[in-house]
Amino acid sequence: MTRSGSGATPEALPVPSSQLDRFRLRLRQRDRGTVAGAHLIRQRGQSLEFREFRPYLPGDDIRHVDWRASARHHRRDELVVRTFEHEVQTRVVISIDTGATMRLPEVAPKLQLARWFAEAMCYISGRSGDSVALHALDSGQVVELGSSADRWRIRRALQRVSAAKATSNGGSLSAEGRTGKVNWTALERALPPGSVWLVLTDLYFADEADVMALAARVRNAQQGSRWVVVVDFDSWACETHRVGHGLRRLDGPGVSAPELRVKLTSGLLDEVKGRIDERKRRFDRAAAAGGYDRLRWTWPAEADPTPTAIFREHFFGQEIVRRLVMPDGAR
Amino acid sequence: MTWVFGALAAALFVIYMARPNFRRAVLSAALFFRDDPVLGSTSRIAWSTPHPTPLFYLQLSVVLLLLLAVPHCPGAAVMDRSVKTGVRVLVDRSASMSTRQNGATRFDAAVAALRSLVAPQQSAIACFSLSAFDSELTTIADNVGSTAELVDLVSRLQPRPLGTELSLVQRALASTVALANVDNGCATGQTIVVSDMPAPPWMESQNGPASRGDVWIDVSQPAPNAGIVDLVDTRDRVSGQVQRVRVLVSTFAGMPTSNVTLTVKSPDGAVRTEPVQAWDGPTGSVDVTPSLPGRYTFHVSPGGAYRYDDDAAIDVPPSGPVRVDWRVARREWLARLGWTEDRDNPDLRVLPSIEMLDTRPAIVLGSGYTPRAGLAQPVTTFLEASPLVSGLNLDVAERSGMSGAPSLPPGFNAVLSGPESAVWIAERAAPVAAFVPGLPLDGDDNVARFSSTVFLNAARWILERRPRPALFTLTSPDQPEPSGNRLALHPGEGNTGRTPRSVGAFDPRAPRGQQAERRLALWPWLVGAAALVFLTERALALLRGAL
Repeated sequence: MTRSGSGATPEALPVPSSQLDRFRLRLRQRDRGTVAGAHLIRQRGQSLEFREFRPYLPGDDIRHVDWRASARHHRRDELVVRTFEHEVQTRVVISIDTGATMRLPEVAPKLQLARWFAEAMCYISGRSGDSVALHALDSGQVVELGSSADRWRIRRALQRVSAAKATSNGGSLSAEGRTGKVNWTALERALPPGSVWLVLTDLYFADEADVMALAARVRNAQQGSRWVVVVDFDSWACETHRVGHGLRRLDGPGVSAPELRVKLTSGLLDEVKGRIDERKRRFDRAAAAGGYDRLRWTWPAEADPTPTAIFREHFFGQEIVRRLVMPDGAR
Repeated sequence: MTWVFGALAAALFVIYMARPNFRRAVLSAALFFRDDPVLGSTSRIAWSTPHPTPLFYLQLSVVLLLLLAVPHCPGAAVMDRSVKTGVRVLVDRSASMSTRQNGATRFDAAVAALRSLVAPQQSAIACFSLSAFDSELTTIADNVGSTAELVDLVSRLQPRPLGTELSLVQRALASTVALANVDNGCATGQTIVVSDMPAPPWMESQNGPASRGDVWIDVSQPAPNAGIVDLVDTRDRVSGQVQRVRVLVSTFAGMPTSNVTLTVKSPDGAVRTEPVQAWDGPTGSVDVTPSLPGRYTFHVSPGGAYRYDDDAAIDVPPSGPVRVDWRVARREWLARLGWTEDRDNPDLRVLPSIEMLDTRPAIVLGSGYTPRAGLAQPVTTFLEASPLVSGLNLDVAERSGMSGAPSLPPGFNAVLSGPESAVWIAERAAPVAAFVPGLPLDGDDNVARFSSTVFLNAARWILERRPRPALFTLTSPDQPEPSGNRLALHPGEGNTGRTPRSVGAFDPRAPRGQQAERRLALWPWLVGAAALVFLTERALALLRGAL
């Protein structure tokens, strides 16, 4: 018998494909020579997507001269050539923290929201023709999805990734052994320069060294013009509201003692929250190298929050998410 | 037993509450609490906002069930009306139950009333216990199984010429609930009293017998009656001679007074009948002057419905001179006072010194009076209420030259004292004795009269304390039958004119306030249900914690 949060949540993303179809990945191949970050640069090139008209220059392919536009051009002696976007397939890698802490709270597990986020991103990326890989942060397992927008295939891949941690440690709530034991080789292969790396985690690692190791990975990833977005799943408000105040026998991932007896008060909760925030600030300081963003998904201070509401509020309403995906047709 | 269980439950509750209650809580951020010690009070008694979870409702159910199970809680017990109960029957068999009304005695009416009362309820009555009362309470039978058997037993009883002691009934009713727990084969929980006395007020007092379902049946009906209610004698205070006997006659329930006569038969056989006179309302009287010692009998005519007050008899003792053991000089005082000397069986002893005093009634004389003109000994204290100083002139006392008493034995109280704590007159209540300064002086002066008054006060005070034979006695449980001057004139027995007053309606199935033992105990079921809900809640809590 497991204690809580056993296995991956079976619920599929409660957003219909028709709604996701209205979005496309906003990312394009970024210029390697520029500073990585949120500013994407378009590059002229060979593709079917029109970019602009410009005067003909020697060496241009004569086939790109737009004769009709040249006739309307104000300088009759000048030809106008049509230029096209230099479109390169974007690589998106989504790392999911499948640790025991992600399987809480029971009413709205963080892992479930992470899976939904990943499923949405995979679908939109696939629809945009971009390549996606899923990565289990705990086991290091990488599942390639390519440019598939098949939601059934995406869910199966997510199940494989989600189950990786549960299988490896028997589904216990232990938070031991995360990044420190992970083989990063597969991730490095799946994460070419210029790609986007989404890390879905709560940063509740038992060992501070693991946190710093992940921060170092994030920092290193940015050296290859990669944009790293850490999505921080924060259910603190919801969980503390549910347990209330008073004498409690605390249980949860990472609790080494048989029983952790505490008297929960506002002061104690504020103190612990301060420790968590301080850890995250240290992570930010260690991880930030120009191409890093941390995105917070917060659970409301309710006893029984609705996971769907949490997802919709953050996925369709957050600024950074809007920089990842955009309604189709928008520029 | 209930209270023992309650105390045990309370003790367990206190122990439980004294233990800190650490509720299990699962937090994904639990690892960040690792270094936090428990601070402050660990008592589980603390204010907190309850979460309306299923577990909370289960806990609430436990509390409600336990509250319902509190003993004496109205909802904690229900009456089991199918349980049969035992009935205790108290039947009055005093003299007044022999009063005839409507052609039969009141006792016959009691039997009939009892039969009609319990026969329709036979199915709800498990058993009877039968007791009879007059001036004593007697258990006739326990564990009587049927109404017929009960009525038969009651029918065999007869009224006895004894009085009615209602305090016995009151005590019996108060102990009915206690008797219900006695395992004598018939646990009685309800009492029926059948009497010709109206129900006393304490029947309907708060938490009284009527509130517990006990019933008082008054079978009396007014019946005209005339009878002797008392015989009051007047005696000489010194000699004890019966000087007069007043025969008090009362009429009840409309009995006419005009033709009520009293026939008196003297010891010499003389019979005279005279109308009762001096009527004061329903009570008149006839004064009889017994000229001879011996038995006088009285008969009232017409007697009416109650017969034990129609006749009476008294024995007038012979009267003679006071017998005195005279141990002092001046024996002429014996003749002057009309007393005779009797050293063997005296009514009074007159002694010259305190050393001769024993337990027999006595007057101890002091050294006498030595009156000296103009030289007064002031009275310092005197006991005004004492009959020994009745009619004394204290001014004369101060000039009478009394000498103080020698050392008096314990028990004597000074009645008249002079200077330097000199006790002139003293009395002892038991054994009765008096100390006076001396015999009466001869002469006709104030001091002589003073000395005579002092001596005669003491003699009368002692002599009127002699035991005097009663002119008549009353019947008692040991001697219940009237015979000679043993009469059945118990107070109130001849009052046949009382207004009947019954209390309560007999219903053996009716709920009774104090009969917890007859209740179908519901609280054990409630406690059991609370325990079951509590175990369920704990199991669910464990299950939820483990999932």
